[in-house]
Amino acid sequence: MKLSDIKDVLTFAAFRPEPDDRRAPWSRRFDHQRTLLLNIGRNQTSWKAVGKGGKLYDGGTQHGDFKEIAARMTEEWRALTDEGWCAVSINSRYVINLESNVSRKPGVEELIRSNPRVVLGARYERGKRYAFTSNPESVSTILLTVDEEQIKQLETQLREIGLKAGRISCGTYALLRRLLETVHTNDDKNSAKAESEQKAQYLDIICCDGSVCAMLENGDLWPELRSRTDLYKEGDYAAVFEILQPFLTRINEGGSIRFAADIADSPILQELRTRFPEIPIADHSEPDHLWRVLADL
Amino acid sequence: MLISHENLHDLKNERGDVLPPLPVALRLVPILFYLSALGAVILVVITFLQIGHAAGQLENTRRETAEAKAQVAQTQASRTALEARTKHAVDLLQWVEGSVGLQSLTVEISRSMTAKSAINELSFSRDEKNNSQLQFALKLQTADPSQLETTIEAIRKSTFRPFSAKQSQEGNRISYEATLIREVPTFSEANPGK
Repeated sequence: MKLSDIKDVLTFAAFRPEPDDRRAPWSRRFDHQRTLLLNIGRNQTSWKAVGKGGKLYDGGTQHGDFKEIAARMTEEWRALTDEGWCAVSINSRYVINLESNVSRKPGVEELIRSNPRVVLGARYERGKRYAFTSNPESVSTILLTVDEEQIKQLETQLREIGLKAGRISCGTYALLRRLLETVHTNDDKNSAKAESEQKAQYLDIICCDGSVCAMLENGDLWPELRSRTDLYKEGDYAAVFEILQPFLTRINEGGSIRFAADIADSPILQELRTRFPEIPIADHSEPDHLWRVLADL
Repeated sequence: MLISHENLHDLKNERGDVLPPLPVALRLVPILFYLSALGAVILVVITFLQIGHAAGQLENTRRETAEAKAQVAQTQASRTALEARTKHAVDLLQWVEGSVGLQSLTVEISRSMTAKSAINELSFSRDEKNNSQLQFALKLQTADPSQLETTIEAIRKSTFRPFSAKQSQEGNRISYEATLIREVPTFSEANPGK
């Protein structure tokens, strides 16, 4: 036993999760210290500090390559954290798609980290990392794929500026997962609400700082999903509606939209309401929605 | 459909030695440690307070012992003084008791004085080594030449017999010294009727 182990027991640190223990929520890991939340896109990086008790403050956005932004912002970002820990959202060079017949065996969530080939079979690609969400009622699985090289490069860049990555995730995928967790809270198949939901058609739209992910839900089925990164800029949302158009046409026949964005009152939501006033839209966005999801608040 | 809430996915390179937090029940270990440390501190404080209290008590005891010793010394001095006075009183008593036998002799000598005579000095002393003998000294002022004979006769009547007598006279002053030995009377002398 090391002296530091004894110190950790006496300071009660051993009873808290380690800073990079992915099994523990961010808010539990850093309940008493300030950390940094980063959302890194291809040409834009935004950040927010989360303080003690989960209070969000001091954020910003800069355009350009992350490496250059990181070099400029090193001092400011270091000052926003107590021990240099940060949670990163990757907003480019990822793929979200729908797969079918992904293994549902117990423990596959852990197995996909250590041995993704076993879980994904022929769909496995070398040099990729994965996360997935399976539809419990069908064979569909939402699969997130990220380049391993990108993650390693990002960890190196963060280390060079004195930051430590406590978590690296994909913001768009996290918002989609949180939306699904929020709307699918009922497993009672016989209730009237469940019955109506089994027949209803929904379009789940996630907008995250230029990236869009849209998934069609037809009752308990997830028939189609589209995801694009770096799709829109502020004031220019034509590309968004272009990829949503096939879904919106189908929804227009009696479905509704569930919308979630990284911020509250997203301009895309306003645009949707203007263009499709006949489609009911449920907005699940909150102020600082992305940051709250990243910090498990 | 139910999609349960899970921790956010994490794609980073994971350390191999990440340990889960210790069970909550084991929090008792540091809590007991701090309680025992606190108890030890309290015990030390109590011990120091007791030491201070004991030191005060020891000081009081020493002072009381010193006072008691002084009192004992004072009492012993008083006792010694009292014993000295007692001895003096006993000596006086013994002297008085010892002088009882001489009172009749002194009365006989006084009665033997005629009107023309006066006793200037009369003393009896007893030798410590030979206390059965009595040293007798008499200084007279007299105009009667037979006065000394009368007085010696009175001494003989008082069952004392003088010997080794020394006598001197200067005018009317007569000095007489002798050793007196008590004569033990015979049975017929002591009991003349029998």
